[in-house]
Parts: sequence; structure tokens; C-alpha cells
Amino acid sequence: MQYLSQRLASKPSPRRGGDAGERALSPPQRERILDAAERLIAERGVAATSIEAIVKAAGVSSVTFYEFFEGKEACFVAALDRTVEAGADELSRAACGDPASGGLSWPEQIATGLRALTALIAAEPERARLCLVEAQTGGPELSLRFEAALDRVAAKLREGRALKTAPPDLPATHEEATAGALAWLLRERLETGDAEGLEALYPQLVDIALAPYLGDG
Amino acid sequence: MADGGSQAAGALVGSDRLPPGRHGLPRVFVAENQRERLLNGVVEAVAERGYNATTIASITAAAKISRRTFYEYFEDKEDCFGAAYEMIEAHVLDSMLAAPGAGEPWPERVRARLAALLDVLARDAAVSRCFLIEPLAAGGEVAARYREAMQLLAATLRPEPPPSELDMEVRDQALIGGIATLIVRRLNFHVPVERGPYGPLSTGTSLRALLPDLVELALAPYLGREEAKRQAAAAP
Repeated sequence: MQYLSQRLASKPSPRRGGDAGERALSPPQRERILDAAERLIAERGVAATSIEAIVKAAGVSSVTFYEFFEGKEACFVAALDRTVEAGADELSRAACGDPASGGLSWPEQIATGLRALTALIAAEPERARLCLVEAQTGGPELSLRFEAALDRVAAKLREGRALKTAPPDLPATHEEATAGALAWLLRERLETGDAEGLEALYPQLVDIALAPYLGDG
Repeated sequence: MADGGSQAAGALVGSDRLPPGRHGLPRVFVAENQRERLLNGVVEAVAERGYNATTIASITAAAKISRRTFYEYFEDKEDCFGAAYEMIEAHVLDSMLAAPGAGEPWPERVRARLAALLDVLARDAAVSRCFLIEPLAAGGEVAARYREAMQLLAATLRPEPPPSELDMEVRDQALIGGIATLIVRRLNFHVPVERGPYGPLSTGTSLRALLPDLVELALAPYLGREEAKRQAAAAP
């Protein structure tokens, strides 16, 4: 099994199937706890965020906390999942384009997706930090999620191999490396730069993602 | 902060045993003295638990050195990990620069250096994790040093003179991001071995198989995909 997404997909997770319904019924306390966890992680990082601090910030009791989450890490994973899903929804909406005009081609989807992604990161740097930094270093469960998200990006990029201009012999690892490169660039801009720097990065991200399939990379 | 770990470590003061079972540890880490044993300990502890969850007690336990001795050498965890990082960084970059092919044309040099990088990281997954991922968790000076190290690494793979019209910073970061991602994912997940909460820490024997792909990745932006592939496929 080469990819984590395969590993994750191979064992049916009880959360997965019930996701939509669960979210619809999800009591406001759960969301409040996740909001608080997100805010605290952004302020002080995963390691320094305690359950005590979360319940205090969320204004719930620790009994309530444990009704929803087994522990700290489960709570962080849920917060990360929520952010990643919201981001993924927004990206796929952006990539769908206007159905009336027949939708977007694959290169257009990638370009608009990257445009939406850089805008999202610039608009919500703290949430982005959760996904790009804390997810990688906050423990095994979070890092599994990070790898799975990378796999999703790689899978979307791999569709480019169907283009006539795509070289037939791209290495099998090409998309994995590209997804890693995009995440790396975004993370570095986020950690050392600013929103403007992220915007400026956009054309280069598009170039890195698309050039190999358009026959000029 | 009293805990069992520091007690256990305290009981072992004076022990001159190296931790058993470390195979293929780079020679720089075969500690002969306490400071180096602590550096080895921090690498062990951080790779096993992650930087954030690593405590002084876990470092001293892994090093079999007392907590008091720890504070003779280091101010805190970050200080200790920073010192270990410095050593790892120097070891990895030196290995790349010492790779044969210094007088060869650029593509061959890139191949030799990438091969050296994969070999040095394949030797020890704990060292690799500390080199490539954990500095992000450490933040501060360690993260700054890490960014410098990654730039130096990219610089060893650049053509000379570097094409001036390109945004080299972005190009370097994209390359390093690609290389680091492929390596880290294989170290964590590719070869199933028994330990490490991040997934199995393996000795990464499969890393060397990445070489042609990494060579292509490094050369393609400058030589074009076809020439890069030809170079990548050439016998080492």
C-alpha cells in the first residue's frame, strides 16, 4: 500500500459514512469546542493547548467535551477535518466554474483551484497554519490527515496525464512531488511572508502544477 | 517536574553504555561523551514522540544521562535539539558535497549529490525525521536554521551559474518541497517496521529507488523533461 489515503480508505471509519447527517444534527457545543480549539492552536500550537483551556474558551464543561471527543487529539483531528473539508468544498466549487458555460477544462480547474487556495490561505492564515504546519507536526493522527490531503491534491493533478500534450513517461511520483512542492511553497510563504507574498506566488504555483502536462515543462 | 523518567535516568548516572540496537547510526552520533549522548538522546526522543511531546526526561532517559547533567550542557529542549540539528545538518550537507563527481558536468554532480542525500537519510530514519520535519514544530531559531539548511541543500543542486532570469527562490523551494515530501512519506510509511507513533520508522532501504525520479525533478526545470529523463536513466 503506497499511499495513506489508500490505507485510510481501506478500513471503514465509523465517522465517514455518517458525516453529513452528523454535521446536520451536530449540536452547537461541538462546533463551539472546535472553534475554541482552532483559535487556541493558532495562538499557541497543538502541544501547548490543553483540554482545560479548550473547555474554558468554549464555555462548556469538560463532561460535555468528553461527550464529543475521546481526548485532545481527537478534538484536534475533528477541527482539522472540518477545516480541510470546508477548504476542499470551496476549492471544488471554484473549480466547477459556471455550469452554464460548460464548466472548466482541467487546466482551468487547477488554476482556479490554486487561485481559491491562495486567497483562502491569505484570508485565514491561522486556519491555514493548522493545516500546513500543525497538521504535520502535531502527532500521528494529524499527520495522517495531512498526508491524505496531499494524496487528494496529487490525484487531482494526475488527471492531467490524460491531456494530449502530457508526456507519456512522467515518473510515478511526479504528482506526489508536485503536491509536496505546492504545500511547501505555501507553507513557507505563510510562515515567513504575508498575504501579498501569497498572492504573488499564485502564477508560479500554476506554472509548477501545469507546465509538465502542457508539454513545456 | 518529577516523573518516573528522570528517576530512571538518574539511576543510570555513570553508565557508559551506548543505547543498544542503533544500527547504521552516522558516525557523528556515536557518542563518546555526555554531550553527544544527549544529542543522540534528543534525536531518539524527538523521532519517537515528536518534538512537541518530547520532554527533558525523555531525552535524558534515551541518553541514559541524569537530568542534572543535561542542564550542564543545555539550557532547555530547544537548545539541545538545536545543537543536534546543527550536527545533522552539517553531516547531511557534507555528505552531499563530498559525493564523487565534483569535477563532473552538472547533471552527474546532481545525481551524485542526490544519491548521497538518499544514502545518508536511508541510514537512519530518526535522523531524517529530525532533519526534515521536526524543526517546523520546534519553531524559533531551530526553524530558522532549518530554512537556511534547506536553501543550502537546494544550492548544492543548482546549475552554475544559476540562470538569473528565474525566480530561484521559488524554484529552489519547489524542488526541496518535492524531494522532502517523497523522502518523508517513504520513511514513514513505505517499509513496514515495528516502531514509531508516526507510523513505522524504517531504515528506509527503499529510499535509493527514488534516485531517478529525484534527478529528473532537479534537472527538468533547466534541461527540459526529455533530457532530464535521459540523464536520470543513465547508469550511475
